[in-house]
Amino acid sequence: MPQDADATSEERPYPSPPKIQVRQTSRQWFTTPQPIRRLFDKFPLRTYPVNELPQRSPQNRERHALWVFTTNTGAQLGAPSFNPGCLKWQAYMIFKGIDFVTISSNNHASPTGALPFLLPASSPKLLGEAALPVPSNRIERWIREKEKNQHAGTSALTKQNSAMSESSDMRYEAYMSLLNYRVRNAYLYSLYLSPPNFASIVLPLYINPSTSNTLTRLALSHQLRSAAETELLKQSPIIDVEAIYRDCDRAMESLSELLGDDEFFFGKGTPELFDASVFAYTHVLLDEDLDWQHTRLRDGLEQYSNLVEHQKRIAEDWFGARGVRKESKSREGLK
Amino acid sequence: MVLELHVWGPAFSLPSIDPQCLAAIAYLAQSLPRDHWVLVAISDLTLSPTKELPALHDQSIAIGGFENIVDYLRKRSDGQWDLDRQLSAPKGRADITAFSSFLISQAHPLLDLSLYVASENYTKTRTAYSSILQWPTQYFVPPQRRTFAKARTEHLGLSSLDLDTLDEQRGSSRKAADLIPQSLRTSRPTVTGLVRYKQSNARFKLDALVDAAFKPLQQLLGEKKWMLSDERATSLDCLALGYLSLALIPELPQSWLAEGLQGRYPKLCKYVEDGVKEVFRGNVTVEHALPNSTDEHSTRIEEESETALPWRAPEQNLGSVGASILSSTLDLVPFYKRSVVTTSSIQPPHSIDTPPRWLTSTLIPPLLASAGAVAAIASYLLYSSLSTPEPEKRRLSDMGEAGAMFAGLNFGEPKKELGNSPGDGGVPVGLEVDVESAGEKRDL
Repeated sequence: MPQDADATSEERPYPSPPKIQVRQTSRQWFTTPQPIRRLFDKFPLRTYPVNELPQRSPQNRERHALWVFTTNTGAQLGAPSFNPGCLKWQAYMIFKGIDFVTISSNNHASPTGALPFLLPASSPKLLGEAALPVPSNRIERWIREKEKNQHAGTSALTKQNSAMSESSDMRYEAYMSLLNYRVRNAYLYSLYLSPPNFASIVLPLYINPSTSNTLTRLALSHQLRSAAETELLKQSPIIDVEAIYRDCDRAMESLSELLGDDEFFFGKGTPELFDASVFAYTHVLLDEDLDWQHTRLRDGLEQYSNLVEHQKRIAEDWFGARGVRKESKSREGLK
Repeated sequence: MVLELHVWGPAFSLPSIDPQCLAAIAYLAQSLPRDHWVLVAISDLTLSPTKELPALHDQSIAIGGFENIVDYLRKRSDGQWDLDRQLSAPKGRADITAFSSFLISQAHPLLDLSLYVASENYTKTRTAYSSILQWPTQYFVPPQRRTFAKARTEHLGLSSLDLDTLDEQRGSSRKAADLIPQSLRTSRPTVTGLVRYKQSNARFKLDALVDAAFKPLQQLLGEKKWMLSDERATSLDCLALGYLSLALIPELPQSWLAEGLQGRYPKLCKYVEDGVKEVFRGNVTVEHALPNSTDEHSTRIEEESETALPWRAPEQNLGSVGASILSSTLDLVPFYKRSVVTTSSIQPPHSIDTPPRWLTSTLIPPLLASAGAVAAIASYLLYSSLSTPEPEKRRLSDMGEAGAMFAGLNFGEPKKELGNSPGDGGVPVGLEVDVESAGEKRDL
């Protein structure tokens, strides 16, 4: 086949570079002498057994694994992640009753370049076809497909539910944009671009665990900060701090208004993805294990008692011992 | 006592070419008495504290950005100039906040794609800009805004609307095609064919984006006259008018946005048409904003201006021209950070969040950049000695912002031959170093 290709390339209408011809003839001229060929046929002299996998590679692939930003002890306990993007999906999977473990990781480990991602369980029988990782934007679909497979008969019921939720659909998207833009912008600014918080939260949690090299740490922190800056500058030509905080405060006010006296958003009996998204930010802001030096966002959030209650309810009911234990421990520490 | 609203000038028969400016015009037209404010079409951003338009000037105070202006007017007049004051129910206010954020986040990328990123439409947008901008800003502003628009819409993966990137892709695929024998080659697609193909692919994605943006809005509107009530417009209506009118009214070569609206959202279209008539009071031409010296014209406009928007001609002075040239040039200088973190001028500086100066003045970026440059040169030398450098055609658009600026002027493209063929001695002559400071695409 490659010879064919060369042959046709010579028939090109325009003159091909002479180099190709030289190479081709030299290939025919140079053949391996028989004695040397026989000598190399004896190799390899000895074949060693296959190396074992590294210790830290996942041994147990029988449970689903969600790779998130968390501490090593937090990963063992299944404690809430300290990154809103990860916590959202962690909480949502817990709401949906999926059995999974969390694994402490960082962005560099992810196939998409961003955490979280989900590595579905693969049984040892099907070793050949290991499940592919699911990036965060596909997790919802993955869960939906999983549910569909489990109870195919109850589809009529879900259809009814979806018809009921149609009316609140427009508000769902609109209020979701508050979280994804207004609250997120303020969070990004407050965490990455406000020096006290960067030193007290980002350095110990995001940067120091990934490397012990000072230069790499410097480069990583610069990368994180400039990424946050670029993200904010996409939306306006300059970073208007007061406007960012004001918008975030209004967003929280609106979310609090939307929640009202209900237990969960949109009057649902059980928490859904929207609750997970709100909880992801409120928990990170209110978590007493996180050392927020500049507390403007947290102070703003604490004015809306129903949002605080919402966060507590989810932390206690769904993260159970994991959330409560952490909180009580830190309270004792404060006393 | 008279408030001055500075905006980008009129285009496409609308009072402004920018959605936020349109929103601000709509807001002031409905909340303030007509003799309390004037509208000025300006072409330099040096006077705006947030480096964006609209900007409101109240004697010595300047406020930039639609939401900041709304906020300022509410405070200044004790709520009298607040369009949302009728909404006593907190639920309504929450809806305004949520849908405003939704509208900006969803409709802004659509307008970016439609007016700036899509090459065929951008030609039209640039022409519109050149009639409202003073010399020499028309060479700086449109390419700059296009760069912003591209950055904002990068994550949508719709760069195929942009013919420049298409050309680059063709260039790279041509290199690969040279290795394929002729008998196995497929015929090379023509430019127009490729554009059709890519655009029909993009069309599905665009339609999905249009639906995501406008379906909730049409649901919210329902059968009402305004978004939230029948009686009064709110700040949300101003924003919606700004964004939707720019989506619907301009006649563009690639009209997927207007077609999508007309085809699937007739209620929104009617809402926009009525709103434009009522709030902007009919068609606006460039002559309204920038009157010519011919007397006949201005008197005619004077006559009909009883009901029209209170335009005032911008003052022209050399100082502002110089300042705008300087600031535009500075924006093009690499490593110069234009993104100084500031606060809007409304609030007293009680914030403890002082701009982190050390952030921008840190030595790391130049150090990293120079290390990157050295690495790039080294790797290029290595690469070029290993591979056969091909003669490369350079285009104006490859030369960054300055190239894009001159692309508007038609004096032929300079062609540069870089590199020799290996048969002539095998020493590469051309050297190209491209230090990209592209932001990290990482989810935070």
